[in-house]
Amino acid sequence: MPNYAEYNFLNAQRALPEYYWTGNTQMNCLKQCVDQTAQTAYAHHIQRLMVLGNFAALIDVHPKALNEWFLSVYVDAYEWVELPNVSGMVLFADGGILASKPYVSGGAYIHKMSNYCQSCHYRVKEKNGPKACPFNYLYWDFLVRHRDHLKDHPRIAMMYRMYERMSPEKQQAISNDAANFLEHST
Amino acid sequence: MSVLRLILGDQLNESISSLSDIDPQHDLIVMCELQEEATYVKHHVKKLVFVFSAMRHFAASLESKGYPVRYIKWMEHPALNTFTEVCADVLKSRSFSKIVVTHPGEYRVLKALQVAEAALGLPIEIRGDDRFLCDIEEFSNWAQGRKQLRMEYFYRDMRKKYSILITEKGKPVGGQWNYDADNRHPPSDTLTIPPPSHIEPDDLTQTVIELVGLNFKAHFGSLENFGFAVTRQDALKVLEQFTVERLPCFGDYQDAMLQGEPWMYHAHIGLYLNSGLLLPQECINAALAAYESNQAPLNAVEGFIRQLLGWREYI
Ligand code: SF4
Repeated sequence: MPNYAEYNFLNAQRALPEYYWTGNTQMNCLKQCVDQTAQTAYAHHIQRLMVLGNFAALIDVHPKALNEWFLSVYVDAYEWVELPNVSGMVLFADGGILASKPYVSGGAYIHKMSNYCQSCHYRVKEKNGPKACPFNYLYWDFLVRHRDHLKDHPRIAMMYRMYERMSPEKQQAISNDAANFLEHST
Repeated sequence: MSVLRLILGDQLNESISSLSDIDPQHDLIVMCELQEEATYVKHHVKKLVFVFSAMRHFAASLESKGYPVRYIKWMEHPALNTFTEVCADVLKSRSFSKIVVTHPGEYRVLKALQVAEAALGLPIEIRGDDRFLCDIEEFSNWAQGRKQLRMEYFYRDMRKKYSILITEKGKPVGGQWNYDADNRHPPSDTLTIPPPSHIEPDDLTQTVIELVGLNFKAHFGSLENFGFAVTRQDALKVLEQFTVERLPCFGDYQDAMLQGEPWMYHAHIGLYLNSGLLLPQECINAALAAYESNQAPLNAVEGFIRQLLGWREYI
């Protein structure tokens, strides 16, 4: 797949945050998954897809940077395995050839499927403010940022309707929290 | 006339197509730990140990069976850094009619081989990789005319083709193709997760751990407590241990994550499949055998086979 590596449907441009290498973050789910990866060179598919991949998708990490990370850190990773998984499933960089929609979610999914949230600095139930789980507002901000690319998708259209029903103050809070987070995230 | 047979680091299986017609009297197997391959991204140090050690063990087992192998270790010959340089060096002392290699998984390596062919003036025969249950041609036929590729349909076609969990009437065993709905249990704190397989490093692996510790300081990850299998024999033991100890709960907790429990009920055999130590069909058979002898439930076995057939074959 010589050209597949060049796909970047959502035009994601962010560098991979340093904490993907160091684990130095207050988001416990990410910290646990990165630390475990450093120890074992292994993480299972939900950790890769719904924690590490999901978060990178939410903040628009460039497909090249995320592909390189996955390829480096996992003992089972070869380019032919990682590229379709990362570009296709995680980042939706192919615009929907392999996956029907981007695999992104807020904190609720991680809360349901793990016990990471119990010992996290952030509160998974809070949607906005300094203690709110960043996955929550970043999720909405992601949808808003990529509205042009995603709005016609049947399984996502519903989320846009939910967003439209939020108060303008709430929408503003999402946007502010996300901007503030992304500005300080390195 | 003699054939030079190149084996890449993810082709560590005696049934690999590049060896199918080998003549041990005249042919030569070449394997090499290339700087370019080891450093083009900053691979986890445990990954480097696994790949180097598995390659060295594979070369040793080929030699013990009477196959001549020329193995070039990391930095043994600092001037030999590419496939072209390695083959050119081998060709200095012997002549060959051609080079045979199994199709590399990585496009980058395919390119490097094409460069080598031009530079060496020797034909390179690139053979299909028959480790997959679905070959490239078959997949392109399947994909033709589909704008979007959906794994679910591919997976069902493969199940039918190989009669895996299919009834005599051609229906999926249990009535459903997919038991994902049963496989989304959140974790509970009371789970007792069996410890993962741990294979004690032998002397050869120990040497590689030291080599990697010295030469790859800037790479990611910890070298401590290396316990992966590096031979086919040990990888088969890991598979066996998985089917007995973990597979029964694999389905239920497939998506669950617990702090401090990296291994959960997963198989951790992806590295063995991707390097060639294990073949997909034998892993599927092991899971089917567990199902047939009532040692593992259908949702677990179906979920595991889905990962193998769907994920691995599809991409
Ligand atoms: S609260 Fe949010 S950041 Fe913290 S562990 Fe849960 S999902 Fe992750």
